[in-house]
Amino acid sequence: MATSFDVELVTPERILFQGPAEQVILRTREGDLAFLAGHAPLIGSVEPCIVRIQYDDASREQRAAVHGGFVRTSHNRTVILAAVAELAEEIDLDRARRAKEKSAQALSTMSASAAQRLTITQPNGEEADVTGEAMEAAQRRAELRIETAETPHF
Amino acid sequence: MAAGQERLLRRRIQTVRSTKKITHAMELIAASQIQRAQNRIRSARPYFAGMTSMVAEAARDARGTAGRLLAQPEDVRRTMVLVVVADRGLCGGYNSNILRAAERTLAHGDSEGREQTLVTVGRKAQGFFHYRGRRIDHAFSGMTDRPRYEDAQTVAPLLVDPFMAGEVDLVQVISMRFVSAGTQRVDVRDTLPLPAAPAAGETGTASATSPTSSALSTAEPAALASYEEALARHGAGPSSTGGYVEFEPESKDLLSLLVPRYAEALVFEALLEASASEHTSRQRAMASATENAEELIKTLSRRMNRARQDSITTEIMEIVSGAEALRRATAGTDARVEVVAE
Repeated sequence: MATSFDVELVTPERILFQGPAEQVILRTREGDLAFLAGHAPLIGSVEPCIVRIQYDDASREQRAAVHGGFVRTSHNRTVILAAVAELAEEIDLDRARRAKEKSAQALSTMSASAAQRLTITQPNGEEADVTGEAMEAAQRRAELRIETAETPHF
Repeated sequence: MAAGQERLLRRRIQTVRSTKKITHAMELIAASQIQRAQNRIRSARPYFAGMTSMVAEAARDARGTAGRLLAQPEDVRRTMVLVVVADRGLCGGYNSNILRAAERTLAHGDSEGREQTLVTVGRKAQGFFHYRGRRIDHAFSGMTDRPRYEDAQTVAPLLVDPFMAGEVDLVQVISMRFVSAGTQRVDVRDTLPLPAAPAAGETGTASATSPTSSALSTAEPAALASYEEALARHGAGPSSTGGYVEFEPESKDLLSLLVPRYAEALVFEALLEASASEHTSRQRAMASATENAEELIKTLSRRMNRARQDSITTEIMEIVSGAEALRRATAGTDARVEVVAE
């Protein structure tokens, strides 16, 4: 039986995951990183990625789309802070697909300049000016959501 | 005349009664909002606490290399001021208390000859500063009723980017802090640069705090995890993580990644607490308005009843005296007729 450690995945809205786990895999700027029990103290930035938390003797895995954040580990306790993150099972796949399509469409109508602004209609019916950069970010988020939701369970 | 007064009073009572209905409804709505706003503060606290302690630790490690972020400016010439108030009134002294504190801060800045940039959240700030001839550089509204994290993501860059670019020396946030359901206070907070870490030994007892409970304990919702507190825990003596912490990327780069997110968290926290405070103030104001209306209805009803009684009395008097006069008149006529007949 692998030794477990405390893992928390925290957003400003709520705690997405809290409990003992055997392994946590996430991506940093330097590359993928796996945390096991007894990891040396570390504070790092997390790239947008699928965070995988393996628990229950590594028999189960909780996946979450984390759109960038930070990780801190010390004293057998790993905390991932993310401004925006979703658990795999809570992702609205249809909505993510629609969002991806929409951002792709919007981007294709734009010129190469990423600084150009374009007007989009928000879900609430209001119109908003967004930069191409923001649109690309939205597209990346949608893609990550789709990827997270589509990765097979085990 | 008396009947006219009665009608007038009846109409006034009706008006007060419908006003009371409105204030009572607003009171109930505000009460339900308070609960939700408080819950949101509670669920956001682990994130704030985690963010704060991470920034504190990175800042401690990066001391001396982080440049503007940690350096206390000798001479503050340009400041950025964020003021958070409500979109609507009818919440007692909530808006005016904050705006008065903001005006004081700005006036102080003026007297120091600072160049001040003003960012406001809440419609009530716009009229106030416009009337006083202050230029508002960015004005937001529609955020404080139910703040979303995206709102904080919209506002925070306006504070952080100019600071990082060296265009302002100091960022101040003026808003209402939700200390508890019974206590809220106006807070003027210097946000950036980050407060200096206390030198080792200054807070010797702080490091005694259990390291595992320090960062993310959700069990203490009342404790405001301020940056200073976190610094007190992490900044002094042996670090909570046992002295050596690996940073990836290295602490000063990590700090420049952390600070924009940290600022978002701070703004989000300010918005959430402002929202809870606003609803609390509104509930209190509307409760006393409802009570007032009840009192008023009671007084007016009493006056109306007296007016009605008076008018009835007068009417009876009139009828009686009319009848009396009539009787006497008839008696007189009869007498005269009798006399003539005789």
